[in-house]
Amino acid sequence: MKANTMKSNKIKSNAIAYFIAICLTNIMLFGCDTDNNASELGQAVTFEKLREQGLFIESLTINDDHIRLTKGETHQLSAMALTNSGDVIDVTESIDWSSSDNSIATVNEQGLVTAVANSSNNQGIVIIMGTSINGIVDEGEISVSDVAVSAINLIHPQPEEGTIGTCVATNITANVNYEDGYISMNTIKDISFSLDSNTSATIDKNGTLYTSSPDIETTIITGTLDDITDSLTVVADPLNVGHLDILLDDIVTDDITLAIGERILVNGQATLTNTTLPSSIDNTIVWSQESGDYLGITTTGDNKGTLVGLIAGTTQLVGSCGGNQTTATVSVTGTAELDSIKINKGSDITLASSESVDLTLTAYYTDTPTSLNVSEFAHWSVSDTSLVTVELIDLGTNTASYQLTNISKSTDEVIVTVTYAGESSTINITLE
Amino acid sequence: MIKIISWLLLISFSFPSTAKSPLVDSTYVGVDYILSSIELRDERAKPSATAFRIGANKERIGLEAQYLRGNNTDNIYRMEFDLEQSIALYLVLQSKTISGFGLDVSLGYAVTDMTVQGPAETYNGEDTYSGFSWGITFHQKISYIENTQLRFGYQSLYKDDDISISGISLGVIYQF
Repeated sequence: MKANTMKSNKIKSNAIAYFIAICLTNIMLFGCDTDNNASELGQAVTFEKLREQGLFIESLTINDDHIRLTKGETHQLSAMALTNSGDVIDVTESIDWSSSDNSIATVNEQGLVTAVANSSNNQGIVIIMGTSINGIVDEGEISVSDVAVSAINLIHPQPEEGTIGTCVATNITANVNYEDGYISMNTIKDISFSLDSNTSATIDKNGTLYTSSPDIETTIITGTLDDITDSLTVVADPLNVGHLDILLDDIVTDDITLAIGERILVNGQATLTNTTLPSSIDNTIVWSQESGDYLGITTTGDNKGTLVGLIAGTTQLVGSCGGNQTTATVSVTGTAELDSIKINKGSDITLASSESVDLTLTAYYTDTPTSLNVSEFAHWSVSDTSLVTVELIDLGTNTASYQLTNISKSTDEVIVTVTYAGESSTINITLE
Repeated sequence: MIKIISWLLLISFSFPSTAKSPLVDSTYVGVDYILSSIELRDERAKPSATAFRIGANKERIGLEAQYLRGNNTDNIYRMEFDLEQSIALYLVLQSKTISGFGLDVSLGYAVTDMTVQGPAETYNGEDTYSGFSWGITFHQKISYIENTQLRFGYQSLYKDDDISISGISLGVIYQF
C-alpha cells in the first residue's frame, strides 16, 4: 500500500516537472522578441565610428554630370565628400547610387551610368542621385538623346580666365550645345584636340595641355566634334614657376648613386609662387645630363624620367621647365666596360608586307652587368625611310626596342644601322 | 510575456521551501559577477553586472530564475551603455557530477533593459531586449565549504542581426 502511494507521488512529481519543462520550452521557442531600436542604435554606433575616424560625411558633391550620352554609351560619375575632419575624400564607390528613370539610364554601385534608351522627353534628362550612409544626398544630371551637336565652346575650367601657369598641366574641356537646347558641361567626350604648329606645348587625347616654354607662349587649341570646331587661345606664363625639385622615391634629392645597368625613376615637381604645395610636372619637365653619356635617360612616354647607368662616372642630371632648372649630381658606379654590341635578330631578316619586327640592341660588358638592353639610347638609322615605318617602343623598360614595319608595295631591301658608344652594327632587311 | 515569466519566477522562488520534497531533488541560490559584452557593428561596451539566481532540479533537469543588475556603465565612443537589469528563466540540463565537477546547459528566455545616453546627434533611449537566452556553465564543488559550488560560465542574454548582449560569469551557488 505504502509502496503504491510512493510510486504514485513520484509519477505525479515527474509529471509536474515535465509539464514545467514543456511550458518553458514553448516560451523559449514561441515567445515573441519585443520591438527595440537595435538597428537605429547600431547605425548610431557606425556614425560615431565614422566621426571618430574623421570620415563622417557632412556634404556630398556629384561631379562629371551635366553630360549627354546616346543609347548604349556609359559614363563614369564621381562623388566627393566633405568629412567632419574637413577633408575632401572620394566616395564614388561607397555611396548608394540611383536613377530617376531606369528606362532611360541606369547607374551601378560604382557610379557608372549606362544610357539605356534615347529620349526626347524633357531633353532626355535623368536625375542620378547619390546618398551617403548617413543620408546626405546630392543629385547629378545626365541626358540621353541622339540629337545632333549645334556648337562647341572650348574652355579651361581652372583658371577660368587669364593666363595659365607654364609647366603645370591644364585641362581643356568644352561646353557642347545640342540642337534641342541641351548643353553638356565641361566635357571632352568624342572631342579631338590639336594645337597650332608654332607652339612648343603638347596636348593629349584627354585634353590635358602641357607647356614648358621659358617665355610667355601663346597656344591655339582647336577642338573638333562631329565636324563642328572651336578654337581657344591660351597664354602660358612662366612667371609663377618658383623653383623645381628632383624627386627620388617621392623625396627631394640632389645626389643620386646608381650602378651600371641599374634602372631608377626620378620625378619632377614645381613650387609655384602663388601656391604653397608643389605640383607634379612629370609631363612637362625636360630631362638631360650636363656632360658625357653616363646615363640613359627616358625623355618621353609613360616612363619619362627613367634613368639607367651606362658608363661609370659622375654627371649632373638637369630638369628644366619654364626657364627654371634644377640639378642633381648622379654618380654611376661599377667597373664594367663595354665589350661589344649585338642586334637580337642576327644580320639578315625577311619581312612580309605590313609585318613588323622588334629590333633590340644588347650591349655586352666586361663585368657585371654582363649585358644590357641599350636600344633606347642607341642611334638607329634606316637606308630608305619610305619603305618602312620605325618607332621606339616600351621606352624606360628593359624590353625597349626599335620597331620596324614593312610598308613597301614591292620587294625591296633596307639596311638598318645602329650606333652606340662608338660601336656600329648593321642588319639587312628584305621586304616582301 | 513579462507576466508569464513573473509567474514562473514565483514558482521558482517557492522551491527552497520544497527542498527535498517529492517535486524536486534539491534547490539552490547563487550570486555571480558578470563581465558583460554589448556588441554592435563590431564595437563593444563591457559594463559589469551582478546576477542573482535561484533554482531547483530533479533528475538532472532544473528550473532556474536569474535577476541581473548592472554595476557600472561603459562607452562605445561617446555613447554610454548602461545594462539596467535583466530577468531570465532557464531550463537547465545538468551533466553527471564527477569528482565534484559538472556542466550545465541553460536554455531559456530573458528580458533585458538597457539605457543608452549620448550627444543629441547619436542615440538616447531605454530599450528592452527580449528573446531566447542560453548559457553554459562549469561548476566545481568547493570541498571545504559544505553544499557550495564555484561556477564559471558564458551566457547569451539576447542576439539579433544588430546587437548581441552576452556575458562571462564567475560566482558561487549554495545548495539546500
